[in-house]
Amino acid sequence: MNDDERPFDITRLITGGALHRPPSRDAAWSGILARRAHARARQRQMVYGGVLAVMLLAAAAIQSRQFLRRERELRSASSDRPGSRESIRVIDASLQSLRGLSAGEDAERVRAETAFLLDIRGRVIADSTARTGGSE
Amino acid sequence: MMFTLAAAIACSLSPRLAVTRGSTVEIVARVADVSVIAGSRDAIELDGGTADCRRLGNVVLLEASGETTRLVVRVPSWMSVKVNASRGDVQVDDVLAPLDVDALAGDVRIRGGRDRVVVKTASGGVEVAGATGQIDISAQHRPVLLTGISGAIQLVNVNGVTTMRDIRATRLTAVTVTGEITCECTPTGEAAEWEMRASSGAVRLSLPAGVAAVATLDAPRHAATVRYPGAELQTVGSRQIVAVLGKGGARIRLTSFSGAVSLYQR
Repeated sequence: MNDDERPFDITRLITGGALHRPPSRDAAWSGILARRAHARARQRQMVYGGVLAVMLLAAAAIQSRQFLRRERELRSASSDRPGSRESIRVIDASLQSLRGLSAGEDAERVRAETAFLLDIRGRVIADSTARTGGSE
Repeated sequence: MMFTLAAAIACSLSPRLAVTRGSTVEIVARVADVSVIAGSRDAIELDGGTADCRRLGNVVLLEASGETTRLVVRVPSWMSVKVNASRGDVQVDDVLAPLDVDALAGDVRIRGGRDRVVVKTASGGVEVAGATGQIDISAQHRPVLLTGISGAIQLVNVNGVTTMRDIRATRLTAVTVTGEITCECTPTGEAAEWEMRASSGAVRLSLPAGVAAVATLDAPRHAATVRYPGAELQTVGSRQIVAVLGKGGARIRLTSFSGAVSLYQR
């Protein structure tokens, strides 16, 4: 049967008849294999993804717990000696600001001021240590 | 402390614990406010709250117990008092003996105190009025107010505002880092030595008329002010002004590394 004898087919008109060629047996089998391989790959991906998600959740939970515990410890320590910590922070900030002034004609004055601040810092630490029995 | 408590003998405060002159009382409170009031006659009485009582020689140890939130202790006015409070406020009224108060987080208010008054606080404010003798104050970042004190004062308030009024002191040392120091004070005698120092805060001293002193103001250029009629002023270098008041005498040094310093007559 030549083309003129076949009924009109719009698909054939568009594709030039390629889709109407029956697939060979090997090609059909390889397609099935490819689909199976694809499905297995999807399954593996889902399993790996699930495991990864569980690991991430576990890590996040552990980290969150550690963070909370650390925060609780810090809050507890801070509530014991809030003033001393704040004082040391303020003194350290003042010492830091002096470092930029250490050169020039005021060098002696800066050294004296640094010694003054270090003396107060020492007193604050001594007071705090005396309160906590040397545990700091 | 534990050894001391273990070695001490239990005592009872109900209704009162008789004490002899020379005895001292040490009060420990973890969460309770502590109020010590002078007024009882040769005895210690509890006027509020409950406390475990132990005795070691002439030292009476009281530790706030149970769920006590406010411990009120009446003591003889001659009795030396030591208070260690972790969370609560401490108030001591009318005790005319040495006082030693260490309040970790609470405010401290003292009226009275003789010979030696020591106050330390980590995050509370301090008010001391009417004390005489050696006064040692250590505060961190809350206000300190001293009024009507005579004697020698040593004060550190790292980050807070310090106000001193009606102070008559032979020796006075007040230091701060970022706080302020304001003093309405009078030096006692020509041998008085005062130093008030801030790192980046301000220092203000007001003196009555007729004081004989040599005051050195050390501050950045144009940050030192002297408003004391009759004072002879001399500028030394870029930072210092020396003011001679009257015929000179008491040594006063007001210093701020980067803040303002002022001396004026009230």
